[in-house]
Amino acid sequence: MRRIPLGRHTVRLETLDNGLEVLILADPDSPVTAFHTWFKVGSRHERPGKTGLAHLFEHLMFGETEHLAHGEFDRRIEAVGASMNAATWLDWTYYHETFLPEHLPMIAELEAERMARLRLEEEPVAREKEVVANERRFRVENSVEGAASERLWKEAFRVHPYGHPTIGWMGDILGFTVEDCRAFYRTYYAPNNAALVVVGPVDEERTLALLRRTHGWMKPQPIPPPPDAVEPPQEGERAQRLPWPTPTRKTCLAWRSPELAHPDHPALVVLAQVLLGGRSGRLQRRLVHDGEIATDLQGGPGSFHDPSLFEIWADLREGRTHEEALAAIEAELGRLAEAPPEPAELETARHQVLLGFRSALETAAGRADRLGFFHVTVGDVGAIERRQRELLAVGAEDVRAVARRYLVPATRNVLLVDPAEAPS
Amino acid sequence: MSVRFFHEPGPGLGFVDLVLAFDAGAASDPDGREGLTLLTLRLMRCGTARQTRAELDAEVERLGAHLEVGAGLHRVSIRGRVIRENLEPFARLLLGLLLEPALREDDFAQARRLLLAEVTAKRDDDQDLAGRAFRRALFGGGRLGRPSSGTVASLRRITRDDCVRRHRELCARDTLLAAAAGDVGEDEARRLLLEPLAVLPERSGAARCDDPPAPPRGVRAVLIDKPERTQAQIYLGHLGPKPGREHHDGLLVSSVAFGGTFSGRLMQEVRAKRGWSYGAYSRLTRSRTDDSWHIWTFPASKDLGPCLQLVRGMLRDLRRDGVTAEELAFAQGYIIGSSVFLIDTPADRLERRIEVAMLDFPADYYAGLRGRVEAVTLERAHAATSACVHPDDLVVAVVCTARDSADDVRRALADGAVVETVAFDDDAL
Repeated sequence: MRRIPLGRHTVRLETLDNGLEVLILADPDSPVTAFHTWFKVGSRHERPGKTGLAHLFEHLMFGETEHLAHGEFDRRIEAVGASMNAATWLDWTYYHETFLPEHLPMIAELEAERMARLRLEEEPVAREKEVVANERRFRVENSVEGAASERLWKEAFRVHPYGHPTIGWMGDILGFTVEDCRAFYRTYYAPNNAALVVVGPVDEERTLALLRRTHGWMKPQPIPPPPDAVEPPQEGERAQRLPWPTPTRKTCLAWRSPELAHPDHPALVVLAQVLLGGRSGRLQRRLVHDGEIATDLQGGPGSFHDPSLFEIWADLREGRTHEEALAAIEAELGRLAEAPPEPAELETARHQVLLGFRSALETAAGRADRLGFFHVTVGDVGAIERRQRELLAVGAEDVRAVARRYLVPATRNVLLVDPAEAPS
Repeated sequence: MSVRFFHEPGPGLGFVDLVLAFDAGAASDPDGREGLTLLTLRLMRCGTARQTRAELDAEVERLGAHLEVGAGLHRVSIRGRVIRENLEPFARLLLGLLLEPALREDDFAQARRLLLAEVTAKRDDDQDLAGRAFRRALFGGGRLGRPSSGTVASLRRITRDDCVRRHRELCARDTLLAAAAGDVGEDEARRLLLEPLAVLPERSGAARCDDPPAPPRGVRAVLIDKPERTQAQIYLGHLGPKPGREHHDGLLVSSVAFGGTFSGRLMQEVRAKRGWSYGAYSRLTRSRTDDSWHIWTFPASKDLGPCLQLVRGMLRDLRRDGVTAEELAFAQGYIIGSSVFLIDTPADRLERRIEVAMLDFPADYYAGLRGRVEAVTLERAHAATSACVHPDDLVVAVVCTARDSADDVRRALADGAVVETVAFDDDAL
């Protein structure tokens, strides 16, 4: 058992005999309880031809089990007004519920049921593949942001699985078999590949006893390592263009950047604040508010288990060109590489870090989210507090150093979206 | 009369939310100048006589705060969140935007250009396009159907003088509500927010909006034509009763039973049984006036026609038979259980109080929600769906590629439906 401080609270971390990790944050003042189940499997664990399986499986987890008819899982949870959902991303999949505290035993039992006793049959799998295909149409095929992001990451990662979309390629989604799904379930949905997070007005001992009863009986499985694909260094810029039925151009840039646990990551977060933060970031002023080249500007470093991308996305105004946006971005990056940020910019970054940290812990669900994410992505809940200290300690020269190290032309990926066909 | 004031404590949170809300919104923008209220707020946010826009932006963020302005149909607000340590200077800064905004001509021109660009950029969002077209058709182009950001044409008509007048209308004690939530005591919040506001005049000239007229009968569809769509975005519905009006509670409960949740009837038929759409929901909009009761779903283009037919048939069933006893009990449990999320945090509790005050909800609308929901019987629920669900008097908005999908829509709606097609970049949307 370990105890880890988090803001005003303490988190208790226990590992059950079957390898299931349990994190409990008892907060007597919370009006609700949050229950999260995190699995250490995401699209990073998939192979070519089978992309999107982790995400499809997330959908299937709402299906029939040995003791629950199809739809009964959702019905029981919603009948007590609980909010519930799930998400899959590059490194993880998680399921979450928030509810009135008295419903914790029922929620824990339902989550255990689908974790261990899911039924996977032809017809529901076929239907859910259609739903996911529609989700892909929604998020990618009919969304300029989704389509551009997918192309940008595919080009940046030619070997590493971060290059394929979490939702999967359409052909892969439609090609999955029931046996694919059963094999995935057997392999990854094991207690020793999962973590439970409970935050709310709970008694630690009683909660642990409950979870030992609901989840402690499950058998651990051998967990295969993720694909050991290492993306070779990028040597030279990669550029592509995307025509799209959109009224305005979008300039999308991405550079290779380090993993979340890397010591340079905090400085890159501060760099992102200096460049892209709020309305006063250097690029916000130059591109959006003073230069009037863009309508909107977003970006920053990825927060993933493996090295990923530092992105800058500019949604340009009508009539403004990619060349203007690129010139402005390059000028600001050059300025930052030459001279470190001003003390006022660092003070802004520090205060925004504090605001972000405190806001993220506002609700039980927010705290459970931070706990699960850091536990699964970097393997250490203590990293939440530590990371805040690291962010606050970033100095001006640290920012300049990472700007020179990472935001360089040789590892830049460029995707330029241009308005295509006029409306009929 | 003093400015209305609300406070919700949240000791230990480490941050404070401050809100200045105004009892006037985009629905009271003058005809032809839609977007005026939002543009005025954007201009107010550009600094004071002693502080340029850039200086203000830098100061807000240096304090560890974020600040935003927003315009709804019936209320607008300037609101921000700040770390506890910098509450006092942030409160001064926030009030300065209300009491002594610079309203400079060059800031006006720049704010208008940005809003114009945002209006254009929003055309990338198919769901937003469908939602806007639906409201415009539902309210017959009237005030309640306007986008709060205006149109390209209306924004171009607005002058700085219009904004100066609008600012004057907003700044009155009977229009304003000041509020604080989070890590601040009530006395301190009152001192920071209320004392400086005593200088405001009492009366305002802000207009209020009446209930909308009943829309014309029959089915009216708007196709928003966008190239290369493989999926349609559908909004479909009609007016629904506002809080406090007969059948509001019955329709609220029935709507949740029908399509308010993942396991509801609508989602089960559209998504779970047929796999046609990632989502399918129904929603009764709570507002100061009667507003929409609508369905939102987004099937693949190939399933657009059958999906429209299915949903319309389900509406007929709902009107004829109402919800079942099991569905009613489920919806009651869901609404009562989930009502905790309405008041989960101090900021949530504050927002509910502001809603009640600004949108003229019955004073006990949220506090009495549980009792009213429990009091909805099967008979009352059925009476509400019989009176309020109109499958033959519908407004339908669909974003699709008209060349590929228009015939499917016409066939699905059949019997005399009026179908109009507009381009996705039509400024009237």
